[in-house]
Formats: sequence, structure tokens, C-alpha cells
Amino acid sequence: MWQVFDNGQKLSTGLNVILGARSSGKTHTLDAVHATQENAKYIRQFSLVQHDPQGDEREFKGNVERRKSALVDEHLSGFKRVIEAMVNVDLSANDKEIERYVETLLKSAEEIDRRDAFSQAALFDEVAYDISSTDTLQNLIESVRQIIENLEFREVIEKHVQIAALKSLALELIRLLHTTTLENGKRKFVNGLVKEIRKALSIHSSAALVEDVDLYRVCLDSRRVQRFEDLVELLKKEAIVFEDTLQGFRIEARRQPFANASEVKAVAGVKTSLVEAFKHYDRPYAYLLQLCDNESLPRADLHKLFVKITYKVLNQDGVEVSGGERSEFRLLQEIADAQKHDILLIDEPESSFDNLFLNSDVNRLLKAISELMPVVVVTHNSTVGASVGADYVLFASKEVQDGKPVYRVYSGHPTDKDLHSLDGKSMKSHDVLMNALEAGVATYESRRKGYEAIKNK
Amino acid sequence: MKLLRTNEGRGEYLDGAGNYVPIEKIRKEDLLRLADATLNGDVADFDEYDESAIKNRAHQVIYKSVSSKLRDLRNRRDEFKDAAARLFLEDYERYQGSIAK
Repeated sequence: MWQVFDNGQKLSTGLNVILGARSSGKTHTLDAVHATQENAKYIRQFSLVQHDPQGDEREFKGNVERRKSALVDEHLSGFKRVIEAMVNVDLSANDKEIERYVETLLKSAEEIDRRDAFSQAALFDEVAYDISSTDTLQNLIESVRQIIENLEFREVIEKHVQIAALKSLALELIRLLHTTTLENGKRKFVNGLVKEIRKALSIHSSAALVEDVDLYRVCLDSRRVQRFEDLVELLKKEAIVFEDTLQGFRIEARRQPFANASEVKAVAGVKTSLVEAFKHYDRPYAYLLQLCDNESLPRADLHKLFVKITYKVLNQDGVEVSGGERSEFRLLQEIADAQKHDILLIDEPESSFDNLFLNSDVNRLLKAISELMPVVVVTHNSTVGASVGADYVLFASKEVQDGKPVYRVYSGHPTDKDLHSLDGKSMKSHDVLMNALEAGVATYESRRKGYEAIKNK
Repeated sequence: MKLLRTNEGRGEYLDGAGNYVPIEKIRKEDLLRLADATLNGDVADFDEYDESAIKNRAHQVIYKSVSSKLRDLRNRRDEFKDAAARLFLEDYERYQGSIAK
């Protein structure tokens, strides 16, 4: 139990049910609980139900789209980084670079006998130093560091390797990184200097200057394209990328290749035709170049145009939900979303769901969530009120005292014989349940007899 | 077979058909193939530049430049293999995993 209001009113840390007649202050009490909480999930009465089927469907689809968008972003986040790297790969520029190198080299060789004092200088034919990447070395150091510093699996690690040996390995790798970085710095300095001198010599000479090419980068770019194409082919293989079940509903996100340019256009949300680009869809790098050429496509979204991700909510029969099922699904999802909050407040979930659904799904979910956080449900429905398995009952009552209305809350455990108000008044629990949920003892008895009569026919 | 060799005072490169061709005939496609063989081939062997072994001065210029390029690549073979193996690896494995599911 915990105190929710300054007046001393307490609630259970589990499932609380607020009962009461109409205009007795139930929703007011729930609002008051809400006002005391910073991170509450509050599902208001009728908020999930719309009476306009088209509007309902539109809103549901919008909701699904938002969830899908978050899921697509998450699933394709790695591929987005790949695309960011790939847009900088220009095989055609690389090709021209090699061509220029070979052309100028052959021309320079052809003119060797006509060389003057400037072009005869050794630096005139000098090529730039290659600069090695230290990425691998840095990753390696990080990996070794992780093994050294890991506490969770320390015992297993020490069974196979000595930490002292790993430390000396780390030190040697760090020294190597230091040397390589220093060497790269020197090489970069020399490259800059050589470039300047060659340029100065070429100004005074009529001999052709050999244009340099970075063959390492050219070869790696070519490998990069190959790997990119393999990766896209892999992505195009149909797969279920996300699957979840929620009280009988199945949410499924499926990845598959685009069937035509219109599908890509729909995802891209642009007006320009993508038919030309789509002709290259089977050759991912060429397709990427086509997309890059289209100025109406934002670069940041290009990764979404390689595979299609569909998001569906299916019912128990594996068919997409429709009509009332949408409201049911939304309610279940809202309740499930409450897990991100500290408390769940829900006002009359029975507003427009049938008792079967309330009893089978909503009650079970409310009870499960109440294991994790306090839940407060306002209801006057017997299926929710009597069957949910409340840990604590509150009865909101509007009473007239000295000609003026007084709002009281009686509370207690469901097994208590009486419920008590903070100012010392009490009510019989049985009377509360009968009045709030069954419209009084007489109505309940008459209904019960009615059911029995039908049953005995 | 050597990718570049000095022969009878000339510089020569190995073409795609396995024949040696005077180095002045080299084209960009040949250079790319030699670079690829140096980084990925089983062996990346070639005669080092030796001015005295090449009489033709034009051959000297070309051979010196190309052999220097190939030597740099040969020194970075392991680095290239590591870098190539790592390219998009994390993403490849991740998406492969989603298919296996």
C-alpha cells in the first residue's frame, strides 16, 4: 500500500478498482491520482473508440504507419550507415583517375629525351606515400582492452589466457599504433611537400607531370561495391524482421524486394518518376547512383528505397484486423505500452467493448501489468469490477449532508466486510458491489433468476 | 609468374592471357588487373626496378613508377585483406541473421 493523496488516502501497489454510481466522483478521483503522478499512462474514457468507421480506420492506419516507421528506422539503421559510406564511392571517378595516371605516365615516358633541368629533378617523378589506416589496429586494441577489463566473464577468460599476457599485448599494440600514427604524420607532411615541389617544377617545365593514383583505395572501393551488392541481395531475401503477439493479435513486419517503381515511389513520397532508376534495381550500385542523381530524393532516406517493409496486424485467424478488432487491439496496445510508465490509469474500459473481450483479454492484461506497477481502473461494469481480481477497492460516493453534496471515497480490500472512508464512515462491501456493479440487489436477483429460468428450459 | 619483369633490356608486364608485353603498351585495365593480382593473388612477385637492367629510357620511367605502385600495394596486402573482410561485416551478419530466423 502507498499513500497517494495528502489526506492519507492509500492505494495498492497492485490493482485498484474505483467503483461508484454516475456523477459520484470516480473520474474526478482518477484525475486527482493523475495530477500526483509525473509519469502516468492515462487511458481516458472513450479515447480508444470512434464512431466514425472511416476516421477510425484512417487513424488506425496512421498509428500503424508510425509504429512501422520506427521499426523500419531501427531495422535499416545499419544499412543506412552502409548507404552513407557508399554514396562516397565513385567507381567512375576512380576509373578516370587510373586513366589519367596511365596516360600521363606514358606521355612522360615518351618525352623523356626532351626533359629539361626542372623535369630531370628526382622529385618530378616522385609518387605520394601510401597512408595506412589504423582502424584495424584501433579495433584490435579495443577488443583486447574489453577482455582485460571484463569482470562478468573474468573466470572463463582467466582459464584460457593470462591477463598479464593480454596487458603486454595491449601495450605492444598501443606502441605500434603510436609508431604508425607518427609515421603516417610524417608521410602526410612529405606528401604535401612533394606535391608542392612537383607543382612548382611543372610550372617551369614543358614535360608532362604524371598524375598520381591511389590504387589501394581504388581496389578497396571496388571490393566495397561487391560487398554492397552482396548485402543488398541478402536484404532482398524475404524475411520476417519483427514479430510480436498481443493477446491473440499478431504484429508482423515483413521485408521483401520492391515489385515495381510505383512501390518505391510510394515509400519515397516524391512526385517524380522512378521508373528509370528502377530499371537498375537488380544492380544495387547502379541503382544507388540513379537514386543519387534524383535531386528530389533526400539523401538521408535513400536506404529505405532498396527493400520494402510491410507491417500488419493480424487477428487469431491470421487475417488483417478490421472494425471492432481495431479498437480492441488499440486498447491492448495502449495497456501494453503502459510498461514504459510508472502507473496505469484507465477510465471505464467497458465504454464500448463486449464483456467477452473484457473478461478474456483486458482483465488478464490489467492483472499482469499490476504485477509491475500500480494500476487504477474506474468501472461500473461487473465483468471488470468483479472479475478482474482487484487488490484494493475504492468506492466513490456522492452524499448529501446538511443539504450540501459531499464526495467521499470508501476503500478497503475486496475480502474486507466493510469499506471505510477517511473521516471514519463505513459501508458494507457487499452493498457497494451490488449497487455499483449490478444496479442493486433486487436487479441482480431478478437477472439471476432470469438466467436460471432460461437455463432450466 | 611474375607480374612485371625485366627482359633483354626492356620492361615487360604480364597480360591477361599470360603473355609478357612491353611496358609501354600498358593500359588502365592492365594496371587494375596487376593491382588486383598484387592484393589478392596467391603470389605478387615482380622484378624490382633496376635502372641498369632496362636500357630503354621510356621503359625505365614507366617501369619505375608502376613497380613502385605495386610494391606499395604488396606491402599492404594483409591490411587490405583485413579491411576487405571487415567491409559492412556487422550489417551483413545482422541481416543474414534475420533471414535465418
